[in-house]
Amino acid sequence: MILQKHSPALLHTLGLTKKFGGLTAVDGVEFKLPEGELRAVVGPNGAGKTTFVNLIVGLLRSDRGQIFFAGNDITSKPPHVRSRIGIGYTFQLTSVFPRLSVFENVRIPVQSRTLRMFEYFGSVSNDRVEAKIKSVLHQVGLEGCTAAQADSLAHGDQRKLELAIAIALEPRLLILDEPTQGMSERDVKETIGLIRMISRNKTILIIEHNMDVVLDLAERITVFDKGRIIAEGTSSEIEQDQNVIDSYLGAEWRGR
Amino acid sequence: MAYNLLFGYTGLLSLGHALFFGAGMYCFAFSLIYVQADLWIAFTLTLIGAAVFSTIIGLIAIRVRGVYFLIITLIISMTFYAAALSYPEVSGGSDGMILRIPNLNFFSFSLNITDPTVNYFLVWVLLTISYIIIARLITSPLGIVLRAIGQNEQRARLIGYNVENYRLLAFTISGTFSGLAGSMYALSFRFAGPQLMSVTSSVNVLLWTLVGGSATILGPIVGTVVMVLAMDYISSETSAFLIFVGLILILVTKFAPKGIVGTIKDRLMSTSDSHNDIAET
Repeated sequence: MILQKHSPALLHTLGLTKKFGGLTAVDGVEFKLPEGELRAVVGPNGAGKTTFVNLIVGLLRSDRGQIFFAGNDITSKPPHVRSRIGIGYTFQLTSVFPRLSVFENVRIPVQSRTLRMFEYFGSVSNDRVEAKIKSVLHQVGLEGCTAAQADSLAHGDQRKLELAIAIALEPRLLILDEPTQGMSERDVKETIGLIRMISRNKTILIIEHNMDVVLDLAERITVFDKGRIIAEGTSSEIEQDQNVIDSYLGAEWRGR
Repeated sequence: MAYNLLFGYTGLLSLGHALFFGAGMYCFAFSLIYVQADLWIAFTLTLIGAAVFSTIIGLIAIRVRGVYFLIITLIISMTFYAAALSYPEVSGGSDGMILRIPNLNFFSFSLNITDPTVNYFLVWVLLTISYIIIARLITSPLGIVLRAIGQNEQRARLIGYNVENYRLLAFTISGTFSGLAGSMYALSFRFAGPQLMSVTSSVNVLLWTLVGGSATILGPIVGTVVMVLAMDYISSETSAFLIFVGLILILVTKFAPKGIVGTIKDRLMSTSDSHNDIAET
């Protein structure tokens, strides 16, 4: 594993495998993501994309294989440790704190990164923390409803809050699981703009169904099918790939 | 109040709170009887004892959640209840122990705190202090994290919080305050006995919190006052008062699931919201 230490990849998986009963959801996946890249993962429903990222963030434990982050083996690390060393995640199904305000929702990750142990017993008013919360809310465009309870927000705004929580963690690697799902067209455009902006100084791994979003955004694309990677390359390479057309894009894609 | 920190905010439903109440009570009684400690030392020993005890129990109980957490706290509680009954030579068994409370010495002052007036004020002072500490805790950064964990544990984990440690902390704080309440009881009634460690008392605490409103600071106090007064009144009218207690609980869950304080709070908030709407339009 000495070699892995010198690998330039920020994220590297080796033979990563996860089975659910008789189904192999992720099947021996070798995946490398260099620092600074914006990578999209695509594939048909049930291809194992979400399972794959759940293994990376630690929500699921792999059956076989290893995960390296910044050269360190994190395969057996619990999720909160992975979060602390710089892996941020947004859920496919919105997962915010429903009965906290928008402001408090973002306070939770900001506190996690700025407060020291004893400060948790102190006062909540902390200029450093509050300035950070405001700047994150401004970034995602939620500065207008900071006092609203999270579960009272419209779906699109809850998606933005989900994104805000992950951004506030200032992760080295940001994993976005279908961030634009169920958003209005306008919100999708805004979110794409936001992701592009964040990606200037971050490594991003994005799972996305919307091929237009993917082709617009990603530098490189990895295609999953039946738990394996079937193709990887730039958007034009992927569009030409016969395997990908057969299993995912479909015949009509050619005609576009 | 202590219970509400654990249940209302962190979302842990425990049926063992009488255990910590009892631990505080017995710790206080033992310090007086066996250590012959003065009151300051007895209180200190109670606080340390309750904290250590709830940490140990917490380490066992927080590994599981939901209904399993409930069952584990219940089992541990019953075990200690049985233990208190089984060793009468140490604990006084089911008769309990009558305590002789020494005067509270504060430099040259010596205060007879068994005097009803003094005792009454002392309890109020301690209740107020506990209220301030817990209210402060709930609004602190820690309190917000505890609420967040109660609402969405997985999310909190992925934000980088070691959820188990926070649960344990909530458990310990809550157990320590319950222990303090237990020592107050022993002090006021000059008595320590196993009845208050029974499962019924734990259930009562849960009921009071529910009626008053979980996840509100005032809820447990309001709930306790309302329920104790109601039970006193109803039980003087009929011996079947438990039926009415059940009825109250059903009505509260059906019509005011957020409890008395929670419902009032919602009403107030919705009226102020509609005012805002009018102001905006």
